[in-house]
Amino acid sequence: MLRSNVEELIKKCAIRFVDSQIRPLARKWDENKQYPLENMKKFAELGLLGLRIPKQYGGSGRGLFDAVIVLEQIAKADASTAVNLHVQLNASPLYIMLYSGEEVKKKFLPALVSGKVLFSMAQTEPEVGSNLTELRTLARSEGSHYVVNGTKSMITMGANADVHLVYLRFDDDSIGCLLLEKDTEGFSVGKSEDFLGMRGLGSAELVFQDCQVPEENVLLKGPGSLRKMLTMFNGTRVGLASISLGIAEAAFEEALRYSKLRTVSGKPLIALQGLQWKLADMAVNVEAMKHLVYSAAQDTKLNGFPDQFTSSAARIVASEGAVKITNMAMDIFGGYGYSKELSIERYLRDARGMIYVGGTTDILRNAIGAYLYKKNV
Amino acid sequence: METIVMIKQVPDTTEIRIDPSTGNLIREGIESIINPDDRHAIEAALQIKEKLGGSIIAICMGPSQAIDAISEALGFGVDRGILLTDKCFAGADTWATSFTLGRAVEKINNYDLIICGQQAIDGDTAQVGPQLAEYLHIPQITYVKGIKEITEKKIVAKRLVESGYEIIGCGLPALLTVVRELNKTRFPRFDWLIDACNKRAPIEIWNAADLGVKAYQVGLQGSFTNVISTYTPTFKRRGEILEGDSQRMVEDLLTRLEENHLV
Ligand SMILES: Cc1cc2nc3c(=O)[nH]c(=O)nc-3n(C[C@H](O)[C@H](O)[C@H](O)COP(=O)(O)OP(=O)(O)OC[C@H]3O[C@@H](n4cnc5c(N)ncnc54)[C@H](O)[C@@H]3O)c2cc1C
Repeated sequence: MLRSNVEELIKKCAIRFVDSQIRPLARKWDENKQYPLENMKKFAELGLLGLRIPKQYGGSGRGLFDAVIVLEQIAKADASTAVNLHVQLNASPLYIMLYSGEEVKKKFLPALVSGKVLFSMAQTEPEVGSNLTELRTLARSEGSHYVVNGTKSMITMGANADVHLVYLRFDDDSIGCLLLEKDTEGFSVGKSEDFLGMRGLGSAELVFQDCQVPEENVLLKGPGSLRKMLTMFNGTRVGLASISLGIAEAAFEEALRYSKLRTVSGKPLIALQGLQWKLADMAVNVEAMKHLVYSAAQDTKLNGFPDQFTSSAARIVASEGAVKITNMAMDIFGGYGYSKELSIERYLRDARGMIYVGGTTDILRNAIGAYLYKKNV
Repeated sequence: METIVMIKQVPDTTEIRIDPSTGNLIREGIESIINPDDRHAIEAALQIKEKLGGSIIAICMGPSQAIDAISEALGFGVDRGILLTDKCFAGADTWATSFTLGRAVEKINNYDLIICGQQAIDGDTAQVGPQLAEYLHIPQITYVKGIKEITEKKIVAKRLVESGYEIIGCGLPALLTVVRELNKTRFPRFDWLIDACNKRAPIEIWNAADLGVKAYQVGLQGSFTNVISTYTPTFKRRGEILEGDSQRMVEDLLTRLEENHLV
């Protein structure tokens, strides 16, 4: 039966949407440090927020690879918008799908699909970043609910999300997570972050003061919870890698176009061997990133998730590669690349931020190192 | 209200490049899209459906990859898609195209309105819509830039003409060809695009046998016109600078204009 290829079709349609609705406004969002709220509304109208949500909750039931294809295209125009969407596609709602009871699923998943409820995912604390076992935000059991106290920092969509998936410590000393709704008494949004790049994330601090959370909102608690959460990270890492890939592709494509237009002594820049080598390196790097990210996105060997090595490798190569490529693109543009009139400097600032979002790439090296240390050779 | 929209898949460029050695279209690096005017036809059908209910069928004649145009139409909210594809449909001129589309409409046999784009960016003839209406013996309103009134029985539309617009009404069934001023198109929904790729999607593929047509009636064989050759026009212009004082230069210029029979 003749049918269209899903991935190619959604890629094509994503490109058209991005070109008309996102790229023209990305500069403004960056300059104003503005969370582009209208995007999420549009994503809901386009049936995109339910991409990975099972059909019985109103979604399309697709996998990580489809999310990666869409995020890559969005990131080519605005990485912040891509990260905001990534949190909805690949992060918090998946925890609900896997670890919450039916009532909670019915309450939140259709609401996400229609754009009525948006999520954040809050791990980082002012004093604890890389090492999640040291989290200090505490949930204390009190009858049929939990009382949460603590502070989270740098939380993407912190100021705009309706429900926060909070990583914390329970009173049995296990690390787990729960859902905290924004109208919970004692919850407030603290200071907003003023980042170098990724300025459309609506990043903010979250403050919990004796917040009462009903028991059914607890998703993971007790022994083994942290391991499950770390498995979820394998998927989110690939989503983030696709965003770095998008930034790198945008910078490379713009540099290549410019190298054919700009002339030096009557010849286009690309006629100079020195720049040909730079462009060749960029092309090779982008190609390598793409293969690694796509293969990780299609890897489901760990109960539907990519494994830790594959996903970490994809993120390291893509996030660090994007910094390298945006830097090289700036060189090809010369002084104009350093000007805010063009997008290259924004790509560079955004690529730099992607090294930290979702854990630093050095921490991923730790994980790979530990894996190699244990591996039989 | 049962509406049929005719959509064509075209290369996404208005600057079509042709390989001078083979005369073939250079397709490399060029995406295929739904013809821009046809998007406005789809949008018109969707707005009419939102107002009056009913359903929309999209028909596309083309090679098998034109399935993407049908899938995208379903992404917009079209209910059913029909791809007319057969080796013998290839190379059709506007007559053979409207005949083939006409046979498909006759096979569907239940419609109130047919909407086409004004013209396709890869042909620019604007003939297929009017010819289809003639084939079906139904009234047509071409160059529609506004719909003033539509009911189950009749339509009143604003029709673009060179000096302004006309207001024309007719009974249904009828055929419209629409211009881009008519409406603002929406984006396809991702969830519906995904559904359109499913085996169970409401998409049918019809070939010559399904339409009950013979190879000599359709495609290149059924065409009254033949393309002998295609080429990109080359402009070989050479500037010439006239010298001397102004008297001299004006005289030279006039001589040259006269020599070339330009004055
Ligand atoms: C744009 C942006 C968006 C973000 N969005 C979110 C979000 O939505 N939710 C959220 O929870 N957090 C978010 N963060 C926070 C991010 O996850 C943290 O910045 C990251 O996990 C690192 O933590 P830290 O900043 O506290 O660094 P630290 O943990 O203090 O690390 C400092 C440095 O030490 C290194 N280091 C630490 N431990 C080791 C070790 N064992 N071995 C070797 N090196 C080590 C790190 O690699 C780093 O270079 C975001 C950050 C940014 C920049």
